[in-house]
Formats: sequence, structure tokens, C-alpha cells
Amino acid sequence: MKPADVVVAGAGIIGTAIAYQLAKAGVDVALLDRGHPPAGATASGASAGGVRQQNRWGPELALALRAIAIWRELEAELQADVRYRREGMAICIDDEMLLRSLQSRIDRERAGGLDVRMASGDDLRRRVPDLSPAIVAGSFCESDGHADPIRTTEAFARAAGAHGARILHDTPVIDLLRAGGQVQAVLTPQGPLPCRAVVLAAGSWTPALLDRIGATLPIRPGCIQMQATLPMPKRLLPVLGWVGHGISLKQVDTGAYVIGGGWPGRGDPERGQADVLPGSMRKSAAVVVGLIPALAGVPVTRAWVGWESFSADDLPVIGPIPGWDGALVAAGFSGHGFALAPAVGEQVARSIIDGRMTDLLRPFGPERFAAEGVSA
Amino acid sequence: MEVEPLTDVVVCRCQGIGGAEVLEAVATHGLATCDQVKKLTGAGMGPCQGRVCGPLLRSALLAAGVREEPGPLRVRPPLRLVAMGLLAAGAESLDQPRGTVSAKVLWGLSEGDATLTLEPEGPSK
Amino acid sequence: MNVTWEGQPLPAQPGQSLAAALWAAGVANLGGRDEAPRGLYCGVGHCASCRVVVAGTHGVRACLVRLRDGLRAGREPEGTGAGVPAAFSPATTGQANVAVVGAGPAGLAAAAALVEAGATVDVFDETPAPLANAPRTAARIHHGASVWGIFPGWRVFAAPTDPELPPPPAETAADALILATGAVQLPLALPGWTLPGVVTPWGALHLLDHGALRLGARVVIVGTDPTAQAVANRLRDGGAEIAALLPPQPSAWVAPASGDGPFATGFLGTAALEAVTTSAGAEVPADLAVVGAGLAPLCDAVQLAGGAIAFIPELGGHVAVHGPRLQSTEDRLFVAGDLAGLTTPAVAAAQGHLAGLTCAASLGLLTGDQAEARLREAEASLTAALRTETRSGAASGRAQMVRLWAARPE
Repeated sequence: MKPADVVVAGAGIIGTAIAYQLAKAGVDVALLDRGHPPAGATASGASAGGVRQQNRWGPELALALRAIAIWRELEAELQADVRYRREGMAICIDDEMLLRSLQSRIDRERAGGLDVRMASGDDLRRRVPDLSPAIVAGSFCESDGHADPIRTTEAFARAAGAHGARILHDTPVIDLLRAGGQVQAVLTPQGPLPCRAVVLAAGSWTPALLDRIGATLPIRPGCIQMQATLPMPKRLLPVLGWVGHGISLKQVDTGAYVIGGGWPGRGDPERGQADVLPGSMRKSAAVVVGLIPALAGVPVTRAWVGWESFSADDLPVIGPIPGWDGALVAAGFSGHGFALAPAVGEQVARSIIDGRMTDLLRPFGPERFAAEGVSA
Repeated sequence: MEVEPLTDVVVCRCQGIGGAEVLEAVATHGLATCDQVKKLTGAGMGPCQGRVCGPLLRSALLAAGVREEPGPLRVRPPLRLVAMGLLAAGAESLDQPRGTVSAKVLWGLSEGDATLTLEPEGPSK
Repeated sequence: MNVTWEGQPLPAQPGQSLAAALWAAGVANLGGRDEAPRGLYCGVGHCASCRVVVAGTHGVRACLVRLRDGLRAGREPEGTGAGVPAAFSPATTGQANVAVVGAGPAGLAAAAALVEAGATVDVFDETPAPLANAPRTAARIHHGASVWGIFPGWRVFAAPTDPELPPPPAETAADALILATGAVQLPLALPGWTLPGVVTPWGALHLLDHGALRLGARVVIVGTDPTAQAVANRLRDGGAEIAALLPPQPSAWVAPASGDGPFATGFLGTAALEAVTTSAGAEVPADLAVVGAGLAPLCDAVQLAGGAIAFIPELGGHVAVHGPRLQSTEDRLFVAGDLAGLTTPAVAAAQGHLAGLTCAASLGLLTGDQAEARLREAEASLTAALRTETRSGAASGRAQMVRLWAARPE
């Protein structure tokens, strides 16, 4: 197979964003995927599409702030309509006992540079008139929003191709080859593809590949489920969350309500198989109706599932793979990677070109697990 | 007789998606299955869940020269529209799952979170 | 009977569907103010083109709602005059030995065989009321019940087609499952085919059977196959004027039709159908256009349950893979009727009967030599019935299924 400078394994939102940035910088990139996105039960296909900065732990906040700065110009840059809407996000509470912890999160995030503030229940009901009277307050961030994950992934892939990236579908990376500790090639069923660097951005398929190359990291697959309703008149502008309840609720351009929140599906990650669970449909619907009672008469038209990769500490794993010069991992986004993708793409590309991890990415390095002795 | 591809026709009735858009997606992305067309164009995601438009997506792929049988569309619940209030009315049961998925839950690092237990009920498709 | 549409009284005949009553009252466009015009199309609840708001619940298919005193309905999406969402009563759970999806000839025959063998049976069907000529049965039949979910166990989830009527059990636990969901009508996509007033053959028969077609209604039939001819005859007998019977313009979307022109090339109208255009340059005024492109097996429930399907054009397209005794590839899952291959009501009933017996045996309700004798008898009846299949290629299609079943991976 024709050699490349850099191989990116995985054409989901992370892989395509990285490939785009590398190709734009003139790097000869080959972007490989085991299937043909967006089809398949992938994380990018089952993302709720939230583009938020608030409610992120530790070093994710700084990365998210950088990401939103890129999101603001992304559609112009990629020459694509990815349905990016920035009408804010409210994370609600229905229990006044939670006010203090909510305030302390808000304080921490403001100190980190985020435009988030406390809003009263009535403030929130002015923005969302149908919001349940049970909501007493919430954290509101003006610059949070949402976008379409499938369109965004497609847009990055298209732009990467336009800058010269090669995209190979139905071409899984099944192994890495090295000489003297330096990556020489990736191995695919069609044979080896020589390269001098590789990024493993294969989502829930990354752990198996890491095991294969003897570089096991604490990343596990998990199956997440989504559902969406019939299109309704546009009434809900901000994205809604609710502390203590699994919900991420938004209304997209078509008017459909898209419902996430981390409810599980079930299946076999190795075969990429995933099934919808009725309990998850019911329970997420119950949360929606608890948050906005007027939505009780709105029907669900479809449900879908996808496999995501979750890390042991709920933070992405981004950095050099121990024992492999020239190999990086960018996985374990734990259900909150979509918003970060434009920044991850920019920073990983820069790290590869500069030969060292950028400041924004260093806290996510896999070496943190060796230090803490966390095993897979 | 000559068969002309009539592109100026709605293919997905539920959402008004046109044949031209579908054919363009197939050509631009080299699509080969109905599911790929559905994911990229949104055709088949409306209330009919592909019951009406499925054959038309197939026609698009066959017209584009796809050799292997491109259908049918993968089927997921709900087969019919079901009101959220009706779904919610059944949520109190001892149904699995008991909680949501997160890194903390998957790694068992968080006390007090509902533990995710899913006994296999049968073969997964 | 006090029925309102958008807050105004709607003339009503007992037994009519809401869709038919609206059509009869001149309301063809059921789409909301911000939607493209749409209306009744398939007539059997598959397409949801006729969706309206009833009692604050959205997405209700008007063809599956029977008029009743106090019915309030309105257009999507605002549903003006359609009331506020009624409280949803707590979900009930049912239990049966066997759940049967579909109360057509196959489903009812299966249910009858099972009840006779001593099984408790729950049958689910979307039609709001039993068909006039349906056989009586001791099985529990839930009419106006849409099965929306099938999960391993089996667990069968259903929702009411009319949100204000007593709902079916939200969830039914069953040891075995028989799927007899029948067929779906194929689309005939000519420009303008989504206009209200362009309907499928079953959509036209729905209007006729619900007394909604006015005397002298001008009908254009598009499609010259025997089904189209049969529908034309029934409509003519019902008082309609058949203004034209044309083959459709062949295209990538419409398979080549037999016969020469003139062809129907499209449908014109603003809020509803006004005329059918032809390749001869004519515009045929019409109140109703019937577009027939044939049937295909409806296997979505089989796919949901995890049963295998295969593409066999001679049987109508994608069909449920099954063994000689109508067993599917999944444990305790059986199929019968059109979804196992487009066929006649006689074959469907024979298949249902055999599937019911096979299912009863699998549950241990039929045992020993007597069971085997009855199964052989049912197989013989089915073989005899199959000889009456006149569809071109049916025998070849059936033979392919036999080979497919024999070759399936274990």
C-alpha cells in the first residue's frame, strides 16, 4: 500500500479533525476506518451533539474554551453547514440543597475564564417557558450550544480530502509494526501501510488495538443510546441538562427533540453490534417529561445506539503510546469528546509536527495512569 | 424503452428529501448500502422509518451501479411513533438499566451511583 | 356523535375513520401551516402521512382512529382545538404463552391453533376494530394496538393508535412470538406524488369502504397491473368515475411498466391533487389518483426480533427466512403470511395454522405421536394450498427458501 507520513486510525469526529489539521499543514495523511462512517454503531454516530464548556473536569475546561473559539469560525473554515447553534446551555437543579455545590462549580469555571453564571428558576423559565416549576435554579452558559455530529464529521472528512488526505474505508488497522521502537507501518488486511507516525483515534475499538500492541491503557467500551422525536415547532433554544438525572435535551433545526443523557444500550463491542434497550427509552422519556411536562404528547420516532470509549478517570487519553515512538493515542473521550474535537484536531496535529505534546494536551497523556498505578 | 432517471421527485415523503439530493450523496461518497444513505441524508429517519422510502433508496443505489444488494434498512425500535408520556408511564418498573453510563460507573469508581447491571437476555443482533 | 376538527364540528358517519371523515368533508390536506401538503396515502397505518393531533398527542394516524363521541382532533403541529395531553395511565404489563403480531388470516389461524392446544394468546393488530368477516376466536385480540418494540425474552411493547381509548398492555411477556405482519405497498414516485389525493390502492379502498368517496368522484388509476384493474373495478362499482387508467412514466424511481404510452408523468395541485399530467401533454382533472406499484413483504418486525431475512425477488423482495414448519432462525420465533413470501389468504391461513401448531409443540403443549400427526397433517394442508399460488415465480421462490433454510449456519 502507498506509504503516508502519518496514518490516522479512525474516521470519527476525532480522527477526521486530526486528519484535516494535518493535511491543511501539508502533511501526507492517510485516514483509515474499519467501516464506512457515518454508518455503523460509532460514538460519533450516537453523540448527542452537545458543544459545551461547562461541567467539565480539570484540564478539559481549557481545551473546551479553545474548542469553542474554533467552533465560532468552523462552518466558514470547513465551508459546510454543520447546524452549529450557540444559544446557551442550562444545567438545572430541582433541589435547593444542591445550590452550594452548583455555585462552587460556577465559581471554579468562571475563574477558568468561562462565561457561566447562576440563574434562578424563574430566569430559566423566561428562556424556556415550558420548564417544570420544580426547577429552582441552574448554571447557564451563553456560549454553549450544539451541532450535528454526523454533518460535522463529514465536513472534517471532506475538508481533509480537499487538502490531500487519503481516506480509506473498510480498512481496519489490525496491528502496528516497528523497528527499534519506532513505528514503521500500520498493518491492515490489505497489507502494511508504511508511515512514520500513527494516531489511534479508533474510539471503542482502540482498547483492543492497544492490547494487541502490548500497550494496554485503562479504556473500556460502553454503549450509549439516543432517541429523537417528531419535528415540533421550534421552542427550545438552549440545551438542557439536569443534575442527578440522565438527560441532555435539545431541539435541532428540523424541530425534532434529540434526547441523550448517557442511558445505555447493549451489545457486543467486538462486532460493533449494539441494541436499543426499552428501559433506556422509558427512563430517558420520563426524565424529559419531568423536565418539560408539555412534551408528554410528543412522540419518539427513532432510537439509536453507538459504542464509545470510556477512560478510568473520565478524561480523554491523548498522548504518546508508551513503547512506541511515533504512535499517539487519542481516545477515551468518555461521552464528552464531540465539543472538544476541533481543538483536539488542532493540538494533536501541532504536537505531531512539533514533535512534542502541546501545553493544552499534556495533562491528558497516558503516562498519568502509570503514575497512579491504575490498571486496565 | 429508455428509462430516464427522474431526479426531480421527493424520495422521503416524511421529510421532503428529494431524489437529486440522494443521488448526489450516493455519487459523492460512493455509498453502497441503504443504511449509509439514511445516515448521510436523513432519508428514512421520519415516522415511516423507511417503510415507504426504503425501496426508493434501493433504487438510487442500483441506479448508481451498486452490484451487491444494498438493502434493507436496519430496523430499530420504535416501529411506530410512541408518545413520550406513554414511555414515561412505564419507567417506574424494575426495568434495567438502573442508571446511566459514565466512566465512573463503568470503572466502578463512584459510590452511590446506580450500578449498571445488564444480564444478557438473549443473543444480540 | 360530537366530533370536532380544529375546534369546528365535523360531519360524521358511524364506523368511519377520522381520515375518511375529513376527506368526505373536503379536508384533504392534513399538513400543518408550516408543512408541505400531505394527507392520506397508504390507508393502513404504515406511512403516517395522515398524522394529526388527537387529545394533545402528536403523530396520531388518522386512518387508524375511529370516530367517537367527544373526539377532538387538529392539524400538526399546533393541534389547535385538539385538547391538551391527557394524563397517561400507569403502564400495565401482560403475560401470555404466545404473542401474535397481526390479526390477518395468518395471525388468526395461528392464534386459533394455539388456543386449541391450550395456550394463552395475545394478538395485536393496528386496525381499530375487527374486520367484518374475521373468524371468531378465543384468543385475546388487542385492536388499535401498535407493536413498537420487540425485545429478547420475548417482551412485546405496544401503544394505542387512539390515545383516548383504553390502551393495550404496555408490555407483554410471552414465551413465544408469531409474526404475521403482512405486506407493505411499494411507492410509485412520480413528481407530485406526495400531494394529498394521491393514494395507494389500499388508501383508495379505505376511502371507499368508509363511505368517503362521493358519487362521481373523478379517479385516475396509475399502474396497469391486475391490482390496479381490480381497484378500478371496485371504485367504479362504488360510484366513482374512472377518468383514466395509465401506466406510469418509467424512471430510476419507477420500474418499467408493461404497455405503451401515454404514461402518467406527474400530479398537479396546490393544497391537494387537481390533475394528472400525461406524456401525451394532457392534464386529466382528478379528485383522486391511485398509484399502484405492487406489494412487498413487511419484515420490519422480524428484523427487530432478530430473525433472518433474505432477498428473494420471486417471493416479493426481502422475506423472513423460515423452515418448513414456519420457524424463524431465532428460538421460539415463528412467521406466517405475506412476510414469508407474498401469497394468497388461503396459504396465509394454512401457514398460520402450521406455525401455531409448531409453536405449541415447541412450548410442550403438543407432545408425542399425536403432535407429530397433527403437524404432518398441517404440512400437507399447506402443501396443497401452495399449489394454488399463481404468482409467477412463486414455486421457484419457495424452492429457494427451502435451499436457504437447509444451508443456514448453525
